[in-house]
Amino acid sequence: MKIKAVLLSSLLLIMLSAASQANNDKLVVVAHRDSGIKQLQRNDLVNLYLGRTKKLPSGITAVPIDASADSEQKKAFYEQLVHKSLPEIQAYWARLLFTGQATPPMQADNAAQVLELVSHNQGAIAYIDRSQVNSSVIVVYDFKADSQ
Amino acid sequence: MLIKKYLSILVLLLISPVLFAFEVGHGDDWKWTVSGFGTLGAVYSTNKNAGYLRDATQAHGASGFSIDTDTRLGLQTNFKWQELELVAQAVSRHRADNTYTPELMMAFAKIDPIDNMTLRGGRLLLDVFTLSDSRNIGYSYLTIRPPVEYLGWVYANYFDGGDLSYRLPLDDSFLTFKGYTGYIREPISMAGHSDSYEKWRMASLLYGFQIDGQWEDWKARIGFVEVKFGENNPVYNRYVEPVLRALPIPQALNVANELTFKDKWVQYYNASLSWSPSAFNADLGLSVVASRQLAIFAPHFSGFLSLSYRIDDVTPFFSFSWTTPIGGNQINKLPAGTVVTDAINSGITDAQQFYGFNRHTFSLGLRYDFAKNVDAKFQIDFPSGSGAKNNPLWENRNNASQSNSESVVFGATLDFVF
Repeated sequence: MKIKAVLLSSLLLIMLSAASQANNDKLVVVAHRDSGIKQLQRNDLVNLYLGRTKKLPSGITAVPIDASADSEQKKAFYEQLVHKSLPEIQAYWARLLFTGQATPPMQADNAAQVLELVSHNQGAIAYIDRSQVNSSVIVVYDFKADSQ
Repeated sequence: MLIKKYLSILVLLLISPVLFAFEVGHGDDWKWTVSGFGTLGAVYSTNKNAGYLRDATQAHGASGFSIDTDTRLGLQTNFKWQELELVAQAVSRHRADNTYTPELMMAFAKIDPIDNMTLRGGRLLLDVFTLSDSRNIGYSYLTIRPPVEYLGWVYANYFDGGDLSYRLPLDDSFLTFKGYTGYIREPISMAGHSDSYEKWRMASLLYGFQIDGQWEDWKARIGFVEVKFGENNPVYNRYVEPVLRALPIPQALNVANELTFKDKWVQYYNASLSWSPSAFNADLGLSVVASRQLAIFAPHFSGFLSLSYRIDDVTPFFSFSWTTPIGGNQINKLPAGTVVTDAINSGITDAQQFYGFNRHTFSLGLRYDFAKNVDAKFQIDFPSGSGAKNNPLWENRNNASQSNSESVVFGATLDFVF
């Protein structure tokens, strides 16, 4: 009975992990075509989205864009990037904002708004589902490639 | 009257996100935002002879039920124009005069003169120890309140001056160097030995520096601050010093000089370490507060350890915090034998016990993030230590005896940001 419970729990964990991985595999980070960057490292993304650096590696002032609603995509992005839940990220930004150190990233309501902002702002970067990428932006980071 | 007061606080806290939050701007040219944070808290302490204090800046503690200990509301405005940013923040919390009159906690201008460097000037939050600058922002940390023994006797919330920080990105890590200087002008409320309180305008000069490091799941910090008191304790000025200086006893002048705070320096050393791989989180903070010049003050070693594990939206935690003297606070007393000298010697003994206090607290609780930007916390604290009568982390009530230094403190809070 105990062995069955352990096996079942393990199977459930593997399935959940696979589902989460599937979500992560869909995510890419895009940038403006003239941002001066072809690729971002994971550390670059961490530093930009946690307010530690304000410039892209090319020297242009960065404008990281976050999702406004707490979607599965946003959850997967931060889970994969820094292993943190959305409340933990919100608590982190509350500390930085209300101690006067930094302000949270700009927010977009949907993929169309994301692409509009990135394609019209040289320093903008954002995460979206790979299926939503169009020719107005370039992919600078792929979570699927990072997980392999 | 009380019901009216608490009802108005409750209503203000609940409607503030709707009433106050907004953002306007013009592309990249300028942006103006108003945001805020708040905590609605309730505490029940079983010790009826000593008031439980969140920190030593509170003059009145919780004995029995209270909503004053942890309840607070903060409003902040940010105005950004190109590279310049102006920030102001006011916080309303229960004060020593039994009101919730807002206090200006931040009001500064900020600019990045070069890449990765930030210069701020004006009124800034005091960042002496880890969490000291964010202690009013309940939503930003795990427990109901920051560890009382570690942070509770940092007397000030803000200072007027400037700070300069430089962020250095390395391959897999990040270092931040920060230096600051200014004056603490915040009036300090001395925890009640009666219903009245005395405001002590320390007008203290300070300078400090710290290094923060972040790499993978680790964060670390070391720092040093030195504070020079600008004024004596007003009770000492009014009642004790005139008597000592008038006494025809050679030792009286030495005792008078040993009891003063003015122009004497206190050193704050601190280090902290945090490990947070996925759902598990461990935080350790250590500090030493000492003074080579303040004879009345015993050096203190303080710290906290907190462990937590996130399970979906619930994060249970355990915390232990302590403060203990590490060395004596010896003052030469006056020759005994008269009513005046005996009274002064008794006062010196009380002061030595007060500044040589110890306390520790075990805490258990959980945080529940049930909605975006809102959390609920439940916590039980078991404080214990030296007598409540002479302990800056207790409000002495009913002329409490030495034995009244324990309690069970139940707490519940609702934290939010908007």
